[in-house]
Amino acid sequence: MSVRSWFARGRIQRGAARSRPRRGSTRSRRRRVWRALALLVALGLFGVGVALWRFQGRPAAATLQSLPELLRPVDLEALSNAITEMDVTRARQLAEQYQHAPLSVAQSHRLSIERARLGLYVGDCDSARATLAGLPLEEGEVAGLAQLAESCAGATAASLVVEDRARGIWLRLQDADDEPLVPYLVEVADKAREAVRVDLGVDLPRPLRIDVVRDLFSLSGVSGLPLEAAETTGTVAVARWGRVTLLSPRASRHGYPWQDTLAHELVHLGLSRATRDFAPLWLQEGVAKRQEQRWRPPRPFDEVDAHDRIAQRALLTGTSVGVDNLGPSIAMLPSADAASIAFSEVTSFINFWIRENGRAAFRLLLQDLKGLAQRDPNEALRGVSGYNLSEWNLRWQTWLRTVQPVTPPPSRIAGGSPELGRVRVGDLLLRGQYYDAAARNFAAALAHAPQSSALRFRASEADLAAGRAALAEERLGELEDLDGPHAGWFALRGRFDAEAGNTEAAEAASTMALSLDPWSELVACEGHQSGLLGGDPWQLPDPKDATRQKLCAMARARPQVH
Amino acid sequence: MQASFSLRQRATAWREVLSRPARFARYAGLGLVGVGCALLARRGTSWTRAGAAAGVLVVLLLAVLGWWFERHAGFEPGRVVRQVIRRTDRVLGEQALRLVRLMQRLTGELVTAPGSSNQGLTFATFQFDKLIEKASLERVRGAARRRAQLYRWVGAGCALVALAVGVWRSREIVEGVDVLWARGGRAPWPLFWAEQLRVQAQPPAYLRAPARRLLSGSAAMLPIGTQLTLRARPLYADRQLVVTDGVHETPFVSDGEGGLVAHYEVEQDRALTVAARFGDVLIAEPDPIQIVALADAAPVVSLDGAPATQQLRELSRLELRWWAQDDHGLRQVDLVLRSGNREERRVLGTYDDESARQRGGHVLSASDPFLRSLYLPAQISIEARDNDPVGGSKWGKSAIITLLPTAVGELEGLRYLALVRARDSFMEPIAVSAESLPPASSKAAGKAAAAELQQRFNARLESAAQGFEQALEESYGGLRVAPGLRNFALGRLRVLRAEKGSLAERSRSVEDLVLGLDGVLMSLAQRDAQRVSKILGNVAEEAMVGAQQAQSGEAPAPGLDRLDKAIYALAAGAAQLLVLGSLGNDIGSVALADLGRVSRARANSDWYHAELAARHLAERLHRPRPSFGASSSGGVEAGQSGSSEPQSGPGQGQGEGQGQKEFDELAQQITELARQHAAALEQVDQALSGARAPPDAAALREEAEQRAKEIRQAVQDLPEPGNSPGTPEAAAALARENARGMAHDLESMKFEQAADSARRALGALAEARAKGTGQSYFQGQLDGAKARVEEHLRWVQQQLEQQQKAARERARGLLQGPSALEDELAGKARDLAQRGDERASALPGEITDRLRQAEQLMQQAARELGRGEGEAGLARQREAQRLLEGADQGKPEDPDEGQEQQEGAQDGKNEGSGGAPFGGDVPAAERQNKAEEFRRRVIRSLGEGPVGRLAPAVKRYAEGLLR
Repeated sequence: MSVRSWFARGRIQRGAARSRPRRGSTRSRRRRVWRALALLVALGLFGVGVALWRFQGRPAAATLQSLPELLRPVDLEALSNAITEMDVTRARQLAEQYQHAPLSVAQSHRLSIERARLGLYVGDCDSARATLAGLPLEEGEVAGLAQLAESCAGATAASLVVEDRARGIWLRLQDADDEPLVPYLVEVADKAREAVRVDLGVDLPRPLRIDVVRDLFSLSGVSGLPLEAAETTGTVAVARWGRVTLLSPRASRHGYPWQDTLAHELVHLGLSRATRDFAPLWLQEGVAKRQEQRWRPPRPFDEVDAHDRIAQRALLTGTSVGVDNLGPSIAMLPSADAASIAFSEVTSFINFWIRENGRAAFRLLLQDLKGLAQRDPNEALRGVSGYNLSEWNLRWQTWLRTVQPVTPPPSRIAGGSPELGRVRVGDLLLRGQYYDAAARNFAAALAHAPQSSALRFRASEADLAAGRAALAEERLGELEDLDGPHAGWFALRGRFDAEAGNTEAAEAASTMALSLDPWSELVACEGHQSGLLGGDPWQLPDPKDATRQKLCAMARARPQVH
Repeated sequence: MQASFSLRQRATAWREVLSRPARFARYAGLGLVGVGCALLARRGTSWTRAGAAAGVLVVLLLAVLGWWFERHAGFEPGRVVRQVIRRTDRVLGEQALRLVRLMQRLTGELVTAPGSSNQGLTFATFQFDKLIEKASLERVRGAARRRAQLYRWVGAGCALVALAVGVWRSREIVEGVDVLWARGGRAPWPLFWAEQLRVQAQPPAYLRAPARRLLSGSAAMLPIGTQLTLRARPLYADRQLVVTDGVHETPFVSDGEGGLVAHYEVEQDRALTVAARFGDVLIAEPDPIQIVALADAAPVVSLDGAPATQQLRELSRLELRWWAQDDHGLRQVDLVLRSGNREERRVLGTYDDESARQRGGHVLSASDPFLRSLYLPAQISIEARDNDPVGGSKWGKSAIITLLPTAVGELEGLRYLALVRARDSFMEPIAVSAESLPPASSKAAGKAAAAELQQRFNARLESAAQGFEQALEESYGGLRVAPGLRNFALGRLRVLRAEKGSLAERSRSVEDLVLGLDGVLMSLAQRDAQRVSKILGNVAEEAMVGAQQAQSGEAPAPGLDRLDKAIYALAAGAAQLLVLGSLGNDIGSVALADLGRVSRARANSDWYHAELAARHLAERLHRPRPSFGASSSGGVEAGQSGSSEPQSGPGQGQGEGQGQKEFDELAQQITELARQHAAALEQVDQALSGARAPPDAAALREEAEQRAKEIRQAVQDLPEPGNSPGTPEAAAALARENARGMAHDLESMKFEQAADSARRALGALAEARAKGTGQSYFQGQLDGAKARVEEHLRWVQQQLEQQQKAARERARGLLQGPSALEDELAGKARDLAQRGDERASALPGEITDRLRQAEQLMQQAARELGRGEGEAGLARQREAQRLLEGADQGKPEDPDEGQEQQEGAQDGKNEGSGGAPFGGDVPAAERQNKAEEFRRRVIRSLGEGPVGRLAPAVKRYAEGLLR
């Protein structure tokens, strides 16, 4: 068939069709077709509009599978908040979700920063470092985070990680020799978390992450706290980045109250979570100080009213730091004395506030602070209590001036200072195993400063070494005779009580000693020390408790200072 | 189709006549073309050589073809008709050719159609023969002869041209043929190009060897860098001659005298030849000069006792005796210390005289900073560099002495523990003194018991003191106790021994001593811990780099090895750090903890985390601060303020801090006194120099010049030098020269030297006079000269006396101030010596003795200066200054710590709190002042000429400068 014939036949066929009587139905069909086309166009336009809105002007072809997610808006603020509130699970979900979504450059940049923050919050400094490595360091926030991630990765690399899944405690030990202390750390953390839940109504995250570092250099590296500030104020722990970074008690030659410190920092974490990190510094420190002893039964030297006393004295002597004048951190105040006064002031202030408004008002304040869009807490304070901070400050100071000065116990102020030279000679005599001479030396020094717990401990130790147990116990004295806590004193007290069959008192003394200096051999080994108080080092009595045995063994292996 | 008989006849006749002339013409032509090709090829370029080669091939081809055709010439009718008949008779030939073509066609048809009639062919053949016979044999021969004649002419012409060219340009043709046959740019047949070739070899200047001449065709061994100068006369003009070694070539250039010259530098073994360049082709001469290049060998260095391995701990000093030898000359000898990736070179000598052999020695102390910071085995060698400027200096290396290091900080630990043990031994007399006396039955028994106790106390105290002194003097693997610390302790011990009193009082003194030593030892431990920590920081960096290398993937083994060694050294060093006091214990335990992380990552092959942990450790160790602040006893974050432990650590006892402070002040004051006295000495020296300057120098100079002229005139008639020694003439000549020297000194206003010259001249005159008895031909001149010289000597002495008197008068006024100052400084020295006897700031006896001697000398100097006796006073001052400098306490820290502290200060960081128990580094500034003062003295003395007591030293110094 030629083209021409084919064309002619087509014309004939079209003419035949035109002659059929079905004009109306054709029109309606055509209309339906047009309608369907219009609907498709409308749907297409709607899809394009959604895509434009969704990607902020960046059109992209969405697959059918991702359509539900595409219709959900990207909320990086929610991710940031989830991280700040230590809601790691949700933060991970959001980060994963946004990671696979096409984002604008600014959003991608922000997401990377948030992912790095999330890495820091879960203690994964390596991934934070890697994430930030791809971002330009010119930006201040990125540079700061990158520096922190770098130092944190170095300080925590190949550290020993111990996790108690049952209690939800995750510990990372920079010094593996701290491992025997883990059961005690877990116990304190668990109890402190419960106290925070009960008192503040805040559930701390599980697992609760704690970094135990070996020195201030590492503390600074892991937490980002400037090293000079940490050294100036003697900071021993920092609650930041959703974790507690705690200085190992072995960092200090004579230990420090690490248990209350850990509890203190956990309160900070709780407050950060409860207020989305909007709690002002005075609230953070005041509540933490108030709560740090509430996780345990009262112990000797828990001076409940000491903060009011110190704050009152500071106010009257003009050395007050001021509740609203704390700067970026108490750890960055110019001296340890200033930091100590500041702690007492904020604690006294918070105690006053809660006393005036009640615990329910305090919980409401926390809830109100969480919704704040700015750092100024006055709105929340006024909303909850009717007064702003300066007005509360004024009220507190007024109250403080009216309170009768609290006199400390007489034993705390009586007596002179120990003669340091004599003490040192005594120490050298004791180390040289001239026990009698050392005992005489300490006895003479004790006559000058009978309240000194350290001197009483030494005198007792020397007499004990000389084989005069009764005299040693007498030299040790009683709690009322002391000017302050001393780990060695409590260790010997526990030993004497245990030897006397007073198990409960021995346990309490031993716990107290442990809370002060767990890595002292005398403390860890429950009043026994190799080469001095135990006689034959191969015949040293070990603690009965297996956990304490490990601690004792490690304490004995601790190198001696020459 | 066969040629007919008649046609064959004519062809044969034609060839008989023509074959020889044609062959002659052909060969002559080919010969001419060959010559042309040779000349073309001589241009030497690729194209011309290819063209010439093609031409030669064509010629050969043509020759072969001609020969072949001649041998195989047939009688094909058409060809014979064209060749013979047509050249004989053109018309007849054309007709015959047409018939040939017809016959060929007919023959073809007969082949294709055999049945056809061949009648036409027969007829055509008949016609063809008939036609051929029309060209008679004579005509054919005649035509052949005419053509042969032409061939002869052409052949002769070609032969003549070829012969002429061959004769006229035979050399070029030979060159062309040579070039044509060249392979790889070298022609196969050598040709001579030059005559009278002279080759001069000049070795490099640093060898200081004379030039030598080489013979053509000879073999020579020449040092690399030898410059060859080739001079020759060219045999042929317009050839581009070069000298070539097969790789490089240097063109000959005109020497301006009709000859050629080329220069060549020997670099390696080569055959050197003269050649001519034609385009790309070289035609060399037949006899090359074989050159064997002698390389400058690296120096040979020998180190006595090497190779050997020694333990650093057992080494107090390492004596290195070496010799080095080079085949030409040595430029420098270095001591090279290598450890791991560290390398330190110390120049032992640089030699400008370039002698080929040197020997020397060097002592390496165990306290050398390099060795003290050693943590990996060190290789010690001597390396010598030769003076080869041609191929660059080469280093020769001796066998090595390997030093196995002690652990980082081990020596410091040994020293500290020994001192701690020695300190602790003082606890025994304290314990003895604390013993209560047993109840005595009688007063006598009580006294006896007390005496026995006292005796025991004394014995224990003496034993402890001796032990401590021994510990102070001991060398701990080459590490000693710093002088400042030693003097402090010895001073305290001296006072303690001399003290009298009751047992309780003396016991109290021992306690004070112990506390003082305790504080000093704490400072020592802190400094050592900081230093060791920083060195360990370097080791940690080594571990970090090793872990980095291990991550490289391709070759992790070296990195792993590095990491493992560093881990080993870190573990050993951290263990040593633990014993260095509280700071060392703290940092050491931190280092062990972090090292545990590094090791854990290493064990898991986790190089990335090993690197991170090692970097963290390195940063931490480079910051040797306490883990938890120096004074913090507890955190402020929570709980009570920590333990109630009194800060009764070492160094905070009662009294010892004050003792340190007083000792520190005293030491500083002694140093300051030495510095002040040095300034006073300088002041006196300057005053004396100023006083020596003559007044009215112009008038005096004029008179001196006049007298110099008179002296010269007086001796000008004396004999000239050059006579035999021992003769009167020689003595007179000597007198003449001395007198002229006196004249010269007078003109230079050097009266002292002029007087000396005059005395020597008079002596020589007297000798000449004595020897010249009976020979009076210059007796008169001797007498005259003697009289004139004596006269001028008197004048010179008079001037000298006047000058000295005037200088003394001037100096007396100038020296009153320095005298008072000297007296004041003497008082200070007395006070310091007295304070050195006090318990709080006791000094060793030798120091106080020096101070007292210095005080006496200073008082003498003050008296001398007060009397105007400047020189005498200056001499006493100098003696006193030496004693004062000997009484300097020295640095409290180890010798290499000062530099580290200065570096630390430059970094703007003040690490630690107890870095300097006796104050700052005052002696360093003092050393600087001394050096500056010495420099000024030398410069001034050089300007003034070699006079005074230090003249020989100044002269030696000046000679040294000139050298």
